[in-house]
Amino acid sequence: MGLLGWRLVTRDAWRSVLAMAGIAVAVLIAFVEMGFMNGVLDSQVRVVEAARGELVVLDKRRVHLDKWDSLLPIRLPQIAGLPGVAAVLPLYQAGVNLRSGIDQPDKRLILLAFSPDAPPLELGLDQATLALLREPNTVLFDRKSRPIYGDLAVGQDVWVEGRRLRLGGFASLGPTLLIDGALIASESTLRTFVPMDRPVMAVIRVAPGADIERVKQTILGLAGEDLDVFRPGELADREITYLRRAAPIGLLFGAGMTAGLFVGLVICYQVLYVAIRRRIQAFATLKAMGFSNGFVIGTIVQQAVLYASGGFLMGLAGAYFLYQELALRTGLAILFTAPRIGAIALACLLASVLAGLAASRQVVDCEPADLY
Amino acid sequence: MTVADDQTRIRCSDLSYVYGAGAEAQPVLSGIGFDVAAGEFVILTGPSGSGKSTLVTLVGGLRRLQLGQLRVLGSDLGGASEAALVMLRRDIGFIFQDHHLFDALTPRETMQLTMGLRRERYGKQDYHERPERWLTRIGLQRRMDVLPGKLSTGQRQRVAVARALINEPDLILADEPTASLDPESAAITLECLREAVTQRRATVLMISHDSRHYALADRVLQLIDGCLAPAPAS
Repeated sequence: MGLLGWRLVTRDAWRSVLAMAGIAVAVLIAFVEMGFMNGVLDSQVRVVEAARGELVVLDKRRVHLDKWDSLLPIRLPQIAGLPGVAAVLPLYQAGVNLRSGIDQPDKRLILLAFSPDAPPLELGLDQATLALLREPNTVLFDRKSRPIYGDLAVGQDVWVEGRRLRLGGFASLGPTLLIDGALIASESTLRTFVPMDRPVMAVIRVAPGADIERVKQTILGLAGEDLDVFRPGELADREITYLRRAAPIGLLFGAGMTAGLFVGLVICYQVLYVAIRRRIQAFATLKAMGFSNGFVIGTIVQQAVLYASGGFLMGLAGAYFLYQELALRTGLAILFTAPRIGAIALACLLASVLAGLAASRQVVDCEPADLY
Repeated sequence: MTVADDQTRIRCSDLSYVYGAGAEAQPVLSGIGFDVAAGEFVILTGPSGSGKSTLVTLVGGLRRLQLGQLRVLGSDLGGASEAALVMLRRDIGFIFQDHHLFDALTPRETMQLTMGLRRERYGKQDYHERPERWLTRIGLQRRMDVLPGKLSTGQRQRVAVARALINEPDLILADEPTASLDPESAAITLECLREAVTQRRATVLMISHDSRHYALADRVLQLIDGCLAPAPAS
């Protein structure tokens, strides 16, 4: 089986490459759909994954991160006073208009603000950049923002909500599906043009040695009905679950991914069907000689798996370059991870086995007696 | 199995076969009975449509028995399961009118694949030596690693003959194996079959319309309208 299946693929190189190319297109479609879906999901939780603490506190009404329900200010000192809490790092958030020059149009983006002395997020800021944030009317720009904001240079003036500010440097976060870019400011700078005293999130640093789960329960006990407390990973999971189920993202991209794999299955089946048809008498001879149906089916499935493997690798290579381009153009976190590659590989393998089994039907049904 | 049975490779009696059913029924074999012993070379002849191919496919376990008794290589094919028929076919060398080789396998690989049917008999070294010996025997020593597409029709058919013989089956069923061959290939094919009979006491049942082949055979069976008829004069 091993020899025959392998030879049928490798000694018919031109047809095999064509078959693999067809499957590669299907794999590419599946990867792109999956890339977009995960890009949307991963980008949405970047801010959570950047949390520099063990717990994150949100208002109970903020059932997903695109809702901006904020915390009661009184909760911050209350939480800070609880046993096991080392620090409470509030994060403020506002939607603002940015103008990169006096004669430029306004562009919408998000403004994140916090105390430079206790940043709640890991944004790739060194001490010097944090020191810049302490300067009045100075903001940082997220260098991963979509390119619609133009080329911004350190030291240039920008206008936020009509107020002139200085661009002190850059941070690194990245956009989401709905948010094109971000500015970073200190709390005090924020309050010079946005009257805001309610944070949308508070990152909690747990004291060394304290039990994180116990601290979480303590905060929940304090808050009653208005707070939710999560570990960052839990919050990311909740957000992804929400987007997958409540929002139609999972359905939309999942359908695209399934369609891609189905196309692959059909291509694989069609290629095998034609290849078997061409060799049906040789396969019938095998059966006449005493090779079992299992051997023949195994040979065909092996062919299918080889086609699928080649197609998968070609599709993977194409997806690698496409992901880089898409990530660059959309700013979304379109990333390869081993489980995602494995998932597509497994789906591709299963589709090829199904195609092989279906195509082998004609050999199983053929009568070697007809050779005489 | 008795000692007498051991010498009888094919034993059939009252063998009948009908294609179709009801008003469409078309009998092709009617009450056939004959034995073929070990070491016997039998030619089966008769006009087209006389039932030769049907008889050979029944003997080869390629077709299910309908009426009568048929015992091949000691196995009763009357109630044989599909798995039993598959196992039986491994002890039979089939040679068809066309070679039906895989275009992706060289003659050497075709031999190795076929040897896999009897892998319990062979060691690793056999997979190297045996194909070379057989392919040399049929005059393809310089074409062992060439794909069938680059072989002549006669060379391809010779490969098919070697494929049928490499596992040294006790029974060889051949359907006009020389019909479309050049004289050299035809001669090699017939020599190989004759050798199998004389050297290993294999049994050959060969369909042929060529009366020149009768001299090779120990016996000639003639089928006419599905019935055995007196052998034709050679």
